[in-house]
Amino acid sequence: MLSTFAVRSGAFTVLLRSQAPRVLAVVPVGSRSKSAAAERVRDWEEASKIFYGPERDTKNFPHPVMADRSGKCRMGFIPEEWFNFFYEKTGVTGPYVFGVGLLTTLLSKEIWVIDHGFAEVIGFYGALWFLTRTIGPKFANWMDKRNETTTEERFIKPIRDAKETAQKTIAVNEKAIWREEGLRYLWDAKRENVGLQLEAAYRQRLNEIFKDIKRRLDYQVEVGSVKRRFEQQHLVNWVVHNVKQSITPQQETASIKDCIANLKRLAAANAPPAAPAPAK
Amino acid sequence: MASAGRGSGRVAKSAIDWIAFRERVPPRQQEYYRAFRARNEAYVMKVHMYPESLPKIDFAYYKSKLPKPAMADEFQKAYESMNVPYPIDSADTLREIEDQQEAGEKASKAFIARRQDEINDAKLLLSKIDSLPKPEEMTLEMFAYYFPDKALDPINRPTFWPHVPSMQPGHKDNKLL
Repeated sequence: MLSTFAVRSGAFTVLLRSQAPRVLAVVPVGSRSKSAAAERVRDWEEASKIFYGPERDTKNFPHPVMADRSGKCRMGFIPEEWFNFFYEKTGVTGPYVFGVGLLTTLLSKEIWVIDHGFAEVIGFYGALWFLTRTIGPKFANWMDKRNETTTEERFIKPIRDAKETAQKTIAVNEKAIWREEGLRYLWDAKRENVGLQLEAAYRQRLNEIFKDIKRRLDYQVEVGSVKRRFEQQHLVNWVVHNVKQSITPQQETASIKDCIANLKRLAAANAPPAAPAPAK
Repeated sequence: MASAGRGSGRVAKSAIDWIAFRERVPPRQQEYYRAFRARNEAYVMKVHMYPESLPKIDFAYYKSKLPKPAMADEFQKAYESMNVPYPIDSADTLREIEDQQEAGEKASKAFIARRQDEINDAKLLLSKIDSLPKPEEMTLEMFAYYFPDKALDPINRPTFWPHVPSMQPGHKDNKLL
């Protein structure tokens, strides 16, 4: 009857519940924590050497494990082991005979005195039985659930969180190392920049030389051509001038007359045909 | 690639794997990366503004045009035997970069060592955390051994009843003391 109360939660849970949630080990990203983690692990190793190490006699003194459920009972409250103890010596009826005999002895010797207050005993245990049958399972469920929540909160989640944090730390740090190694690109690029600037300056020099040489050559060509053009011009002018000077006034009038005669002849040759007779 | 642009050979284009470089730059330094990249590209563009070697001049044309063809030959001889000195790194920038690199590598070595320590710590913790006893096996005594700094220690760290952190004097949640 009472067994339904003896749920998985033990005194351990009650003790733990009163304490704040704890974090197993925090490995903050980016901080120096070598000693903290190493010390923690050292504590764990020492403790497991004590409790699970080779010196521990696990055969004769097995490690106590909190039972998931309470043991079996007969008639609601008498442990099964007691019946087993009697069964080996007295058979099946032994424990019952012992129980009845014990009760008879207690009553007949007036060790257990039935007085007027005995009715309360009946009422009390009757009420306990009734409550156990009605709200017992629900209560047990509630306690179990609470226990599971506590276990999750106090044991499983902190360990999970610590693992996640550690994995994240590893990932973040590996990435940081990978990025740090990328610095070699920076040095190469800086050196390359210097090289590029030198190359640019060199090419500029080449180009300046090219331009200067070309300008000088072009100047020489230009000077030559200007000289030649001037000479030509001058020669032409001189010839024209001398020819003009050599012409006399008689020659001029003769040539003008000749020109006029030529014009007249041309006009006669090219005269337009007579206008056609007007239409009637 | 390590000797890229060390002044020995002529550099005409970028030999840096810029995409791989960008991947390695942390997100909050991408701005600096972009500025640096733009600078490099400007240098490359400046290089490509002019031809690589001395441009050819058509001396035959000038020979036919010049009043004195011998002058063209003279020019040609001078132009083709021209020795243009390659500019030297007078500010010794390469040396400066070497120094920078030396200091930077020292710093990054220390940084990597620090990060590696953290990784080792986390790995150590990961390897050992599964060896902790299960909750149903753990007793308060075991807890005191496994977590000596967290367990109740009435001799070295006495506490007031009910021995929970929130009820101790000085705790931020304590309204009584």
